[in-house]
Amino acid sequence: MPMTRRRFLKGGLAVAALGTMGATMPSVMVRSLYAANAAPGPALQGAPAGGPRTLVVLQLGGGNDGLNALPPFTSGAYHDLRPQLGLDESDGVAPIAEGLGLHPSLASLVPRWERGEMAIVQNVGYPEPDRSHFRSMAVWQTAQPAEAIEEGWIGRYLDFRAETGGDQWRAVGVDPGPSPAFRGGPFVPAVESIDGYTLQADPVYPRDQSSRLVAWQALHTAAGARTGSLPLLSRTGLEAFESMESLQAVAGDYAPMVAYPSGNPLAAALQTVAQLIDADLGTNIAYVTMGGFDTHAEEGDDHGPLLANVASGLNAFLDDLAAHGRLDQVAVMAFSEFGRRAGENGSGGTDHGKAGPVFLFGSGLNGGLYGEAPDLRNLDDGDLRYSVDFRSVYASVLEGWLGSESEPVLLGKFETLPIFRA
Amino acid sequence: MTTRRETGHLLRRAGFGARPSDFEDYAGLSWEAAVDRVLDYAVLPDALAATPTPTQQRPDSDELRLGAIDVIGWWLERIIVSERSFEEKLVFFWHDHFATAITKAPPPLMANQVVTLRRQALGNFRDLLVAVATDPAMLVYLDGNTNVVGNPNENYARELYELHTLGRGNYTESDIQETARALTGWGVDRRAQGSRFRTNRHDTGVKTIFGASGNFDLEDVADLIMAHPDFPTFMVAKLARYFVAPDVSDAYIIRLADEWVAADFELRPLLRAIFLSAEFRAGSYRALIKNPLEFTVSATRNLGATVAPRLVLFTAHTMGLIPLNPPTPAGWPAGAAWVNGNSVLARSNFANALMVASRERFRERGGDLPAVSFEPMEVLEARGATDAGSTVDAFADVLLDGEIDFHDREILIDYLGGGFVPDEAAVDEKGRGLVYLLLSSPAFALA
Repeated sequence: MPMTRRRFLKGGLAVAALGTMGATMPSVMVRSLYAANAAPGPALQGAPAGGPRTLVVLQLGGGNDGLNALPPFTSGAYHDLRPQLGLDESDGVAPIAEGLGLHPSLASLVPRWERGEMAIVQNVGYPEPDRSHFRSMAVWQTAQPAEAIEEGWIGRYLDFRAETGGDQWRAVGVDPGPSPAFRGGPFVPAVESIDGYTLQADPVYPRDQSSRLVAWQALHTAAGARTGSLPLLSRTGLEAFESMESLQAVAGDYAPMVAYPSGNPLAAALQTVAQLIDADLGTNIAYVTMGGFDTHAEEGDDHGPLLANVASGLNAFLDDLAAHGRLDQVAVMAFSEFGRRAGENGSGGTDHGKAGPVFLFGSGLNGGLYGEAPDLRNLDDGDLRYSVDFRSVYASVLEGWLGSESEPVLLGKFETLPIFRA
Repeated sequence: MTTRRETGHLLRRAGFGARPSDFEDYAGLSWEAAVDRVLDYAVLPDALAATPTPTQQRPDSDELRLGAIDVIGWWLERIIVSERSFEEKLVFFWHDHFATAITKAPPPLMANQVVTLRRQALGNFRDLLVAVATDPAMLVYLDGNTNVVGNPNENYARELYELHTLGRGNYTESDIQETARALTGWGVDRRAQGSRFRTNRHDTGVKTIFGASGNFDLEDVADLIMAHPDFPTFMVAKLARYFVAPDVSDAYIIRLADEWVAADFELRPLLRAIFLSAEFRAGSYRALIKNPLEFTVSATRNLGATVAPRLVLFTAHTMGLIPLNPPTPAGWPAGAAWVNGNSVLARSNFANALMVASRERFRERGGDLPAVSFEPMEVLEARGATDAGSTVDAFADVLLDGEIDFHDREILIDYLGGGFVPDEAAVDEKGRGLVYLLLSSPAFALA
């Protein structure tokens, strides 16, 4: 049984024990100790009146090539490393700072950059980088580079903040299944589409639906007392039932105020997020994913369309939020499990790397560049040496945007960057 | 003798689920004979043998003319109806293990890969590994076709060790880079929809892999993997966790791995040892969670129904599993990853769609509804149901191997109502509702 704050408090374990046990204690227990000491209250102060703040986490799976998403296009070293793939102003790179630009397919974000609604943390990574997609993604999702653990950083956040939040919609994954970043925490609804998040009736016998639903719940309740995976199925079924009822009660009023691009799954997912935010379910964190960034070959053909979907999806989403008067409630953080090798390979692509940029969007942040640009003349086995620990970005978001302590969530203290307005 | 419970268990794991008639066919067999019947699927009739593959249907097809949905539907139809259910289960396992995606590799190549996996599914692992390494869809998906002398591409070499054969921590970054060099030269021959080795693109220099040096090529890499001490346990653990239980013991894995090495990596004796083991036969009943494909297809097969592939595809897609399009080179997640709010509701909605679309009056109308054939009265008449209790038991026999919890049975009898009599009208409303509830129940989500 996962230990939530409430369960822990009932247990009454002495906080003083942390001093001697901290190094060897399971992280779940460390988290609970922090939770027991946390002063409740200031957490939600400063949230805008329209509703609680929402963080949208956008996972770009496969390893987004940061050096071409954010090309140092005047650097000789960059073009030496990438004779074919290197981008220049003649390719349509949109300059945003001295010697630094956005990929041509991200150029539609420039007005947002100029309005100060976009921040870029350069050269983000973690100690002893791993070039495996799966290990590296797990590091970002658990916020634990040193050891493989089950629970995700958002799961820890949700448990830590359990007393301040509302119900099941405090976090949501707009995906067929919830991200591993939610593991270890409370139930988080996974929503593939809002229309689909319901139990359909037999159209021939609509009057039978209420007895079906009674039996449906009874079957799920009864399974809770059994063994194996049945308690998990029972609990999840009952949570799904309850969250379905609360969602369907409020989700009817939304209509998009902008045209979301078609044929862009990310845009569709973000529209679902906009609908959930508009429904005022108290959603603190929404998680969306997009894959396909593993550009080992013919990156020149493939990377642009991917980034174009990111830019057009985000622009529609942020414009829609603004039209609904919700833009000041939302921040977006886009990350990838790693960047790619500094030099191109022989297939017109790039192999797995070690560091890359994190992009943030919203009207509540201090737009601009954070962190140092990568040094292309001082590589580590052909890779960028990271200069900002990704947990510093998480800490900045947790403290600066969500108004939460970060230490209990990240299981350590990390420097924060002034990405968000005080 | 093989019990109903054991037949259901075996055919759920070594296949996509028992059909009603399977229970009678297996009842008279010893456990060993039942396992051999599953393994010897090649002697069973192949109802779709005469059906041409998508590329045979349209030999000049390229990615524009042969759509992804055509190819996925072609395979799904076979998964749903095949007499040789274990064959398709193995193909799915190998497709999940050696994952490739139809959004990157062209549909005709994916169709051909399914045929290749089917041919190699229960043979020698080394042959399978070499067939996959030179499979055109794999060469495209993990960029082997652009891996050439002087400019190695390490994508395939990394996943070959991390995902296909050894597991993380059992090789070095240098092993990956050197292996990529050894595999240079293999490319896709688009016209022939096959692969070929281009000698002039192969790196003939000395490579050092796992501490050994030589002018290695693909065959040498396959030998080096077979000789690697971590390979047998890695592969056996993957199979055992998929076919038996997620928490099989280390001792069990080591015992099977030792037998597998002695059998020179032949897959049939390994799978036979797995299914004959007590850990499988008695120790793993309902220890797994069905993935979306296993859920939808087992519902269909258990009921003796047939369903249009597109209803299965729609549901599996909603739950996050599109056959031939895994999300990453690691394939799909397993177990508890399939238990979440979206999947719980999607499973029930599939059950509802199955019951609604199989009504004769809807079937005749056609149109937007997928074709489903299922006659609840047939199941009930065959089992002599006369009242609420025997009606619940009849469907629990086919959907839950007769292993229904006492409380669940009471809940369902309450749902049918005290005076329930299984006539046409009552079955059309409550009988279909009962099947809907059984398919929605937590027990049916387990494999």
